[in-house]
Amino acid sequence: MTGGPLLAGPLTSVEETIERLDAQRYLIDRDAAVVAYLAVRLEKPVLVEGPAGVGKTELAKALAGALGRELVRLQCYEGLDEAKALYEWEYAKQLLYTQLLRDKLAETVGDAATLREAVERVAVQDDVFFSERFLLPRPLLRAILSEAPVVLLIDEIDKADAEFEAFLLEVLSDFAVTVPELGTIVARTKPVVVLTSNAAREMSDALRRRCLHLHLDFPDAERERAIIRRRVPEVSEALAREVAATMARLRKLGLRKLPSISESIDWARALVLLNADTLTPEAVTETLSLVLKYEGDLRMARDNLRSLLNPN
Amino acid sequence: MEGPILDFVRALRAAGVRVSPPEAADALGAAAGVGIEDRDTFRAALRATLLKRELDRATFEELFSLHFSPFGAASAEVATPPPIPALRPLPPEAYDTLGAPLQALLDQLLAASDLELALLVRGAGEDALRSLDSLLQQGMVGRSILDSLGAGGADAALDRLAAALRAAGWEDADVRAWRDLLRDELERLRATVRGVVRERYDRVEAERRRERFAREMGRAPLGTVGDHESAQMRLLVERLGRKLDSLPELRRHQHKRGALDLQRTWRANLQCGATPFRLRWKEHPRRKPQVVALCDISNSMQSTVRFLLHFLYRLQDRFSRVRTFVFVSDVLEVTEEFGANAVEVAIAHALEPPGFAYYSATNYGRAFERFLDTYADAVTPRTITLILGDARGNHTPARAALLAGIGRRSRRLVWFNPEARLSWGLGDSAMQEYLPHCTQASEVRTLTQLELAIDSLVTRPGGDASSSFRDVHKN
Repeated sequence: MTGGPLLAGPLTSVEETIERLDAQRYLIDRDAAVVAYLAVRLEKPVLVEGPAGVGKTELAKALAGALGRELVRLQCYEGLDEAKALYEWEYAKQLLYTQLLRDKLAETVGDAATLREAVERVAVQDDVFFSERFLLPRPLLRAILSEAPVVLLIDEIDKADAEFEAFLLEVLSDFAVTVPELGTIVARTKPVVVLTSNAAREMSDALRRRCLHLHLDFPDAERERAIIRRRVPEVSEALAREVAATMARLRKLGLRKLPSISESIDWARALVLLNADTLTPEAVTETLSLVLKYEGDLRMARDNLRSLLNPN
Repeated sequence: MEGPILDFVRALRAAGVRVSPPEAADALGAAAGVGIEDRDTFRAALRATLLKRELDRATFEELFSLHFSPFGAASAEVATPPPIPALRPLPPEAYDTLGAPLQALLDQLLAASDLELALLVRGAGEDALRSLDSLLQQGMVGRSILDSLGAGGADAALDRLAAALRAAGWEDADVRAWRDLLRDELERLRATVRGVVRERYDRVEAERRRERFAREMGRAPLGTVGDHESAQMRLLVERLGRKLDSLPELRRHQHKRGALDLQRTWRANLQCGATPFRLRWKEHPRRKPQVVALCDISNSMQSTVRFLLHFLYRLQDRFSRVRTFVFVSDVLEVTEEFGANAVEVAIAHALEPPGFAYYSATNYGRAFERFLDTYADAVTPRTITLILGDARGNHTPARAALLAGIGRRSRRLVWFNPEARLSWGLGDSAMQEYLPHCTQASEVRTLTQLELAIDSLVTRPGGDASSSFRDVHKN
């Protein structure tokens, strides 16, 4: 299923993008494919926004597969800082080396007449300890240092703080990061950057300016059917259609949490395991908890079961 | 293709969508990357580079259809070119009767696809189109474009060609075949010109409509716009909300980690001989940025209160630390209501809160007292207290000292009054008594004024309500 070496090359057209993502079992609509293609072609980061579970993260994974690149993932959360996203000095290792090299150090400073002179001598050598050897690369630095081009996924950027977002700007516009002790490190190969956001927080204009923008929304019933068929090949055509149509109606009920595409896939899979070949009220009641995760939502769906399955 | 895209960018900016120069450059790059043959792909490329906020989508789509109308194969108005039939070659002396400009034009026409034709017309008509201003000018502008392309007097030229061919001894059928072919091509050109002119006129008209709308919207009293919460309205409120993003009190987080805490580091590393393996950092006290909004929902406020509540709802939607209260003579917190319900429901609830003496007469003094009794802890030195009200308390005691108390507790005390500044203090309005205690007081009768008031709220350096700095925002 993964793209062989034949497929691993730059994308040359929108059609090819669609095909190669399809080979990764990711069905993409044309608009989104245009953005994905442009992201690779123009070497610009993409900011993907949309409700939870419409396949934002999957897009990055599929893109990595389609391009035959490694996926480097940075999961954002409140309080994420440079040390966890970019690099950290391996403090313990530095300390260990100084301990092990004590003799060598003593040699260096041994015949120094004054303390000042000893400090001077160590100072000349201190870049030994602040070199890439002691740098612990975190996802961002890994993506930039990588010899082979990668796909960098910065997931749920809206969960990170505004300061971190500002810090990202350098990475996104120049594909470079600045480590004070080492200077600016420019990417050896330009990564394809995908940022995803659930709009928990409004992203800054500066970030938006540097990115292409893609808004992913829930697919229509027809596309959802195709997606279910693509991901769960065992499911019958008729059942996939029913699941997709029911999902579309569920999303219109005014639930607290809208069921996502991954939940339709899980649902279809469960129905196949239960040998259901059509959506009966019993089968739905048994499996509905796979789709709806809140008690109130479940109750509302059960109350409307009849109209959900049979809109006429 | 650069010209039309840049025109489109200008139109987006005029409609209030923020597009920076690098984004415009990206749009050109993206358009070059995908080509312009497929309209949907082209639109997706522009969308990815120019449309960065979902909320501008409607504007984008509308302007896109105005700027890049489908003069491709999909358009019914422009006939697709018939395949050029194999005709008897024209003798040179007959061909020359057409004249050089028309010859060049016909060559282009025969080779051009519909899209190329549309681009050709747009290019030739740039100046003429710019002067297009009214519906009546369409014919004239169209003619001048045709002339500049060399198609003026084309019919007469075709007649001359036919006569010359007949004189050369051609048969009628052959003459007619040539004549029909060239006439069809010219008709295709005319249809394209009509389409392009029409499209430009629609655009001019749409821009005018938008300007008119913005102007009227800005001037209309808040009460009249509040009734229909249309998409446009939401857009405007959303824009106001975006302005508030830069308010320091509303910025979400401060730095989490402070400087190195030597004492705690020392203690934590005692067991390894005080070699600092584990570093400890000082913690910053978390700032709790807050806005506390108090909205008068009494009868005298009826005309504007829906709009103001709508505004507060959006405000709370955007920022987690906003608490909303409504009052008549009693005060009630509606933060929860706003958080849990859709905007219409939330506003309806806020306007008729359960267990609330709604029909009692407005009493600002008592409302302030109740507020201080029940919710005093909501106001901290970090808080902006925002009061939305007309200060009309039915001649009940104003008790400005209580307001001063609220002002002292908060960082800033801001009053938005939906009445004209001139009537402040007239009749039962106690505004003049409250004024000295406000850090800022603004008249917000129209959207434009609300925007100005928010602007000054954002740009003004954080003046302290308890300091002597008590000037009043004048507009």
